[in-house]
Amino acid sequence: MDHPLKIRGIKKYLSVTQDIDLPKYRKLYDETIAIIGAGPAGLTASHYLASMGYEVTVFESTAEAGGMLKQGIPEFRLNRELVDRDIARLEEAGLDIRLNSRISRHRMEELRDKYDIVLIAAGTPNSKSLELPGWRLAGVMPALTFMRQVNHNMEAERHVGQIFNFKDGEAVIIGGGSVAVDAARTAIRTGASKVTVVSLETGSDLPAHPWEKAEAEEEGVVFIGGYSPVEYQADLFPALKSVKFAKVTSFEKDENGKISFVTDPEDTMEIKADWVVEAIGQAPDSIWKEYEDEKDIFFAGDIAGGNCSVVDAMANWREAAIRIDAALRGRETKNDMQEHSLTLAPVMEKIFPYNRRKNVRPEIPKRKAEERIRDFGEAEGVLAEEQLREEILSCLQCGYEVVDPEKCIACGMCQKLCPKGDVITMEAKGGNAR
Amino acid sequence: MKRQVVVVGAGPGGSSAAFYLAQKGLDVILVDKETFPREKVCGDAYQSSLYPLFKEMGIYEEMEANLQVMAKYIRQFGPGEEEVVFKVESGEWAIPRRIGDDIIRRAAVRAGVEWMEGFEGTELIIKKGRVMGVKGIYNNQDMIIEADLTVIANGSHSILARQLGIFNNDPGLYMFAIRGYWENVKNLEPGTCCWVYDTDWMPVVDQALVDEHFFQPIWINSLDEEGTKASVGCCVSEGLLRGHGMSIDEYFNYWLKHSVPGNRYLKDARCVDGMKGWRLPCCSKIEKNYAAGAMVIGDAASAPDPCYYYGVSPAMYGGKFCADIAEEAFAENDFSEEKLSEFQKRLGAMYDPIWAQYVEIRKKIVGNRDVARDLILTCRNKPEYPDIYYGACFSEYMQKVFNSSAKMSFGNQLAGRD
Repeated sequence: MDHPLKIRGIKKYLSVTQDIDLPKYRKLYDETIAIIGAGPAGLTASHYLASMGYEVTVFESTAEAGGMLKQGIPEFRLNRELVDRDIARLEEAGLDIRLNSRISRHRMEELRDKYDIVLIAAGTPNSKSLELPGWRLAGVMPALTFMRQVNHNMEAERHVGQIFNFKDGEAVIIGGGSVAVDAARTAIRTGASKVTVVSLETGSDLPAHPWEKAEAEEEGVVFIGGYSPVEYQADLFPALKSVKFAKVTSFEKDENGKISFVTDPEDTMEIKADWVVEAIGQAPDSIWKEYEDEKDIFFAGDIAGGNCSVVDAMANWREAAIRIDAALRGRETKNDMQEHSLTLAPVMEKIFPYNRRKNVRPEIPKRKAEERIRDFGEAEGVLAEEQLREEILSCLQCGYEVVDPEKCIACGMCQKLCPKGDVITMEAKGGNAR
Repeated sequence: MKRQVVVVGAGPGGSSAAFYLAQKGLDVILVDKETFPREKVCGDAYQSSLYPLFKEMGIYEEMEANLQVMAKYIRQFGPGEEEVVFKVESGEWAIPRRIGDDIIRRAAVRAGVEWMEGFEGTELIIKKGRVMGVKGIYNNQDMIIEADLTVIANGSHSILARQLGIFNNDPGLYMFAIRGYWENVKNLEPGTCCWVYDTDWMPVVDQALVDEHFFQPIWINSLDEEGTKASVGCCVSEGLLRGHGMSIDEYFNYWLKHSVPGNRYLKDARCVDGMKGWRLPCCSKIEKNYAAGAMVIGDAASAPDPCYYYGVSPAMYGGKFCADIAEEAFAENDFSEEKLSEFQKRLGAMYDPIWAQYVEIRKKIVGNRDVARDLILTCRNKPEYPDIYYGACFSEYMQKVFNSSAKMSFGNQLAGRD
């Protein structure tokens, strides 16, 4: 059909226009499950396990549920109110979420005694740090610290002794993934006079989605690829002045996503910077490592490794919930979201439609760049109803709307399958007939 | 959430307390309202008495690697425009607080302390006269941390300490300080720090007032080998400012314009980001630093010393000792006032005698213009005089003045060098 379906746009339309009505969870079994982390993975798991009939308790360390949806992802990408609404629906259905309940080593032992299964969905809430020379200079910030502060309306330049120009300063974002792009777009909105994203990767190796990069560039963010940071420089300690980079001369990513690269220490570049955000990856709390091989403890979401997007975390948690249920009940439930294998029908040249036209899909409305960088309102709008209809009920452009009467056997299949219904026309010798 | 111990404040005091508490096997959470590394306006001094603690915490080399001030010489300015230069062997370390404090905090995290940044304690939870934890704000939302023992180490502005009625300073020892980083400094010999104890430039003629509040150090600490950049600051008592009728900014600017070192070094210099201030409530002995279920450490307990106004040493030793008391308290399940009063006794046993001597120094030497001037002249005649820091250079002279064999160099004592 020439273009992928805009699933994101369709789902957004649904979440904005429709509220969900969850039936109350019913307890069917005696086993109890503790879930650590009320982020997307933890909440999805708890919903599915509670729906299956287990008694679930979610322990969240911060004062609000939502995980990265609220801590890390900026408001202009995700509507906070909808997240809160969905979480409220889960609680109304009977989910027990305990906020401000950070689990320590001592507490973990209590949980294992009290609950049959403990699921760790604690995520990766710690920004990795390169700890380059100068990493403790005022103005060098880890990405999650920066995003958390902005997302909770806290000033980054909070301490009276801080010596760096936050507002109107020139910002450099180190990293090439979605977090780096989010940080860059947030930097523009918080008043940075100039924002440059510098990544190891170039071109299509960049982990961030092309559309994210395009939106950021529209907003004025500059992208430089192929450089690795080597030093944070200060003129008079302790105020950051610039960042020094070395050129990447070779770059490889293996099938597990592990990166190896070589730089040329003689080929360097310096970029003026008043502040820097390091967005080079995140790590879980080290406390969870010791539970990796325990039989009663499961992991999923970001903490289970791999490059997880929110969608991935939610999908693999459904898998994990099924595994846990299998472990407890000794049965195999079907994952109705599993991929179905497709058999492609052989293409026969002779019946290949000769009058196919290229499809034009409706575009998801987007606010203009100059306007949207002035606030944290959502950058992307919602499809209008007609656009939605067009997207999901649109003509498949199969080319069969004009039928060759010599070949047609009037089985009616084309009419049944056509989204538009009754627009099949028959080309008759000397006239049209429907 | 509940823990055995919550330590509020992750400066040197709180971080050491957390480190030593974790070493005792306790379940400790360390919280701070800032994200680390964070700025702390201060003279940036980590006293030599702390070296043994750095060694115990495994951070001695890392701290040493981050020294900021390039001090090979101290130029002391005294009354009567007298000056003397001392060569420096070693002494206090000036490390930007932003770096030093984070190194100490990380030692605590490595020791197994749970770390939570962004939590600001706003109120102690007190039930039946006993502190049972702390209420606070995290990410602009309410949060409660319950604990059997609460260690309050969140600085001279601590409202938690005030809630317990702990906010003491000796009269005359309520100090204000400011400091800034300056560039385009001229004539500063490379590797030289200037310590200014003269008062001849002061606007007020009332000698009694000046003598009463004499010891008001101003410093110009060289930050680079070339002598063009310096950390400059001053520490002055509230009483003296009131006597002059000046704010600390006005006092400092007056000194810049009218003093010998101000003119010599800073005439065309520029302060990079403005002078930033803080305050130090100091005491001449360790005051009450405990309540049922709580111990108070560092500036929050007005612990900085009464002569040099250094706060990091009593804060970190406070941290070390509070763990000993805590261990006993948990073993006996006794968190009463009486039990925790041991904390004041133990910390007092260490600092009270030495601070009593410091008070004597204030009064008899530096509080006495003629004696102070004589001291400088005496030292000037002995250019090989070693190790100026904190009374060390006064030791021979002190013995003459006091007729005692008391060692003045406390720092050297603990560092095993006397």
